[in-house]
Amino acid sequence: MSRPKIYTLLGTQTHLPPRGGDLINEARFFRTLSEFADVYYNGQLFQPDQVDFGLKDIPIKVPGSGYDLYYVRANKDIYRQLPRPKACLALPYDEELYADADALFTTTGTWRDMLINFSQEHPPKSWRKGWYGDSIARPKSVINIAQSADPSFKPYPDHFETFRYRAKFGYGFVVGYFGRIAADTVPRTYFGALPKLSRTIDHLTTIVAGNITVDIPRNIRLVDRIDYSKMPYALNACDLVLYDCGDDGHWAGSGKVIDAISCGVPIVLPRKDARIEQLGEDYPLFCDDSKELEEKVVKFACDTEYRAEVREKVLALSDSFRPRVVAKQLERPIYDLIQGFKNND
Amino acid sequence: MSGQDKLQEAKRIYHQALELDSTYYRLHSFLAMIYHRLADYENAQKYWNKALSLRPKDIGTNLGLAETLAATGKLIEGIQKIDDLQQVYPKRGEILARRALFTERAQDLSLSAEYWRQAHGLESENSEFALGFARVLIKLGHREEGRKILQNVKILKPDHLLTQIEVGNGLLSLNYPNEAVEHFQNLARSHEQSVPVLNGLIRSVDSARPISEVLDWWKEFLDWNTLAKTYQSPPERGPTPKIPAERKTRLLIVSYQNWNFMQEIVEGLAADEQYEVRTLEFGREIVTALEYLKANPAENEDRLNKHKNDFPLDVELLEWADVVFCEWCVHGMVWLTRHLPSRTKLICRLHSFEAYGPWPLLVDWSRVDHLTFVADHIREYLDESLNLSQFKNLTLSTITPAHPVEDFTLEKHQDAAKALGMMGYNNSNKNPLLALRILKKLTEADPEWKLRLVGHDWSGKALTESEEKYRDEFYQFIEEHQLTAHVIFDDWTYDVQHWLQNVRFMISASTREGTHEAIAQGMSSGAIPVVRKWPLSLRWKGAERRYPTALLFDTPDEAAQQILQISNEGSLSEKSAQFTEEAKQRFTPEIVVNQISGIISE
Repeated sequence: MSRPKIYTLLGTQTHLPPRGGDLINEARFFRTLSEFADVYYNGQLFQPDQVDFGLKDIPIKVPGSGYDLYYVRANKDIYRQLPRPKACLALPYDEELYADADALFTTTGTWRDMLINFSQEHPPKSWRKGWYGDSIARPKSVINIAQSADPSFKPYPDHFETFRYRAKFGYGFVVGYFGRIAADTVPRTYFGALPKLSRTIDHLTTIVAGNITVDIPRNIRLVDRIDYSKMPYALNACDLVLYDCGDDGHWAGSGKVIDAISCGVPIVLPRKDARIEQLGEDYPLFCDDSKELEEKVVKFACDTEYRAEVREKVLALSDSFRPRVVAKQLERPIYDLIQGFKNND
Repeated sequence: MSGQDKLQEAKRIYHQALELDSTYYRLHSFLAMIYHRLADYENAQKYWNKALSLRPKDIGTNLGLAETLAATGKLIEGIQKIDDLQQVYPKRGEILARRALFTERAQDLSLSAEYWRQAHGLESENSEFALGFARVLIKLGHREEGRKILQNVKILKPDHLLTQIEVGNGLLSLNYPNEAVEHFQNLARSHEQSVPVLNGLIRSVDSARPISEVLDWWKEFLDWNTLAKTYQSPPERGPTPKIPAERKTRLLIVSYQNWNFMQEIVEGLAADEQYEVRTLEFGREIVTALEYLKANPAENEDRLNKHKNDFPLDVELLEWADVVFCEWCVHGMVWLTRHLPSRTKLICRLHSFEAYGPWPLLVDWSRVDHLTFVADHIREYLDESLNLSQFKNLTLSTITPAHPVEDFTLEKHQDAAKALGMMGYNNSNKNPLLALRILKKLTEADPEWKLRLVGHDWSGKALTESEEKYRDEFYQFIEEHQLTAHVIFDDWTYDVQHWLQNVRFMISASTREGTHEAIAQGMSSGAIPVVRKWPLSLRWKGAERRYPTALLFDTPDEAAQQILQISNEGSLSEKSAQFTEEAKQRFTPEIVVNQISGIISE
């Protein structure tokens, strides 16, 4: 089959400026799709290497035909007007879309399996967390589109911007948390271990960059909002990155994990199914409680050989998130979806 | 009696009063307020709660408790308290204003503006509400509305200094620099000793006046302002104690946001076994910190210790250091000379722009161990202005900035031979118009000449009237002289090494420079430096001493003639190699790091 032509749209976004998680995640997905398909966003060719992906701010026009696949996220009105085959993201849950879409897209395999095997008992209530009720409309097909890295996230050990952030962060041992801190994303295990860590690790600096809506310890350094284009350098300036998530971390994807490891920066996080899928069962910095975290972070901070070993490991892990690698896994299910529709037609 | 002692005394009296009558809620409330001010938040909370048990709906007590909660890091709990109170009193300005403040602290600016709007709507004569509203509008970039509110505030509290300072800072943030200068100048006449006024004035003057006028402006100002004189009353101080030999020297490198010239130095010193290196960045909080300044240094040190917990700077790091190296001689340096523990060695590096502003006049040079300059002409100019030799403990040096010369030695592209280059052109001090005049002369002789400009253009930059005029003249010159095809605008890039492959002649056309690092980087790449004799340092031969081997000029004609001559001689490669070699001898980071290391262990 020649390169398929795919129509895409996110909400009422006419183009894709790099603002906010959803836009960034969609742009990464389209970059991966572009490896084997011609992706059109709002009717314009998505060009991964162009400024603003070569997209202009033009009014949304609903196509009547002309594409092999239509993928719309968070815009039900337009979704309804589009011809088939059509797909949408599996979040938020919407009974009509779940039943109607020719394919639902998930960002992890555990999420895909969860939807396929959904029952009153599985997943447990705490995993559903307001996203899902006791039952769902049975989807026709679920495809794990996985998540890929933005190629600009990579190690920049000698870059001036990395140095600038290191200088800003104090040039000590820096643990960073990037993103919103709300009730469900507080890195509690780390905060619990912080008093002991501060006593054990010389010049430990914890920095938080993001919108904070809950109370956090006082010895945390808040950093002004960091522009997306500067994020790779800010990550590079950290020795360790923190990530926390609620029980939906058992199935939901996480770009933050991919960002950190792509820069070669190890990430400390709770052991959840979707994270195990991303990093493997034997990932050394899974921590389930403050004591475990304390031991692992101290070892990481004080044992330079171990630190180098873990860094090497995360960099190796990050290879599997390169757009080209992810595209190889995605190509077949997308072709099958399109081909299956053509055959039935 | 100091402020703290007064609070302790008040606390004692209120406790005595409570023994007489513990049912009066105000006594608990006052006591809570005192504990809050003493940073004893646990007791503050205890007494706020006691007051609330006696009068649960009291507005002041509830708001006080919210403040204490916020001070202990429980901002959201504080917001909840205010929201509960608002349910009881939906139309009270002070509650709405406090909600706006807390929302602002939680960084939801749009919602904060909404609360301020409501508070201001209820009590339009209240200057605090108006000022709070204006502050959030400024942060949101709502220029006209912000200015209107500020004008209103100015009239509401004409004699209240802090309010008037906020008005001036607001005008500046909204990019009305001329109005800000006028406002601060009037304030400075009535409040000659105020550091925040001076700070506002410095920032406004820098934004409003072209660089060539700034120096004269300051000279005139400092003629009648007495603040500088207050700070030039140096107390005697002995030499800094020696650092214990059995451990590494603790070196703290401090900068005010700009780290552009520090990477090789910090990394070089950090790699040296002798040092344990940490960094500290002064941000906007240094302005707040300056307000803690007092003329008596002993009092300052005392205040620093007392305010450790609520101080805007990382005091622990400052106390940890054996040596502090302060990059840029600006307000941070003024602060350090007043607050740094006396045992700590203090080194400052002064570039260029600081020398033409008022900050060096406010530094207590008797507290400084070493001052290093990036260029001799700046050193001589400042020595002459401040008579630095009067300070017995202060030693001076000139150490040129460094860059990794080897990274720049890339082969030139073929079309570079007739290409001039200029880095960073969007301001009148760099004077790209002069580069255009040189280009015009060259194209008259040979139409193959080009000028490559790399960096940001003027768009997205808040421009003063004179800068706007300059920009228009610049583009007009290109059009009028048909230079469009000869001027190449390259986007700003980190990768100047590769950009320099396109350029054989690097132009410095500036009015004022310390070292003009772009020229040094150009030399490393093998580009031939073409340097104007910088007018503001003519007397000290700034350009001539910094780049003695460059093609030096006063007029575009002189520059063009020298470029054509060297270009026609056919020895460009040979000349390039000479400049690269000179750069290796002068600008290699190892040389500079060793020199700085020498100063540290002096």
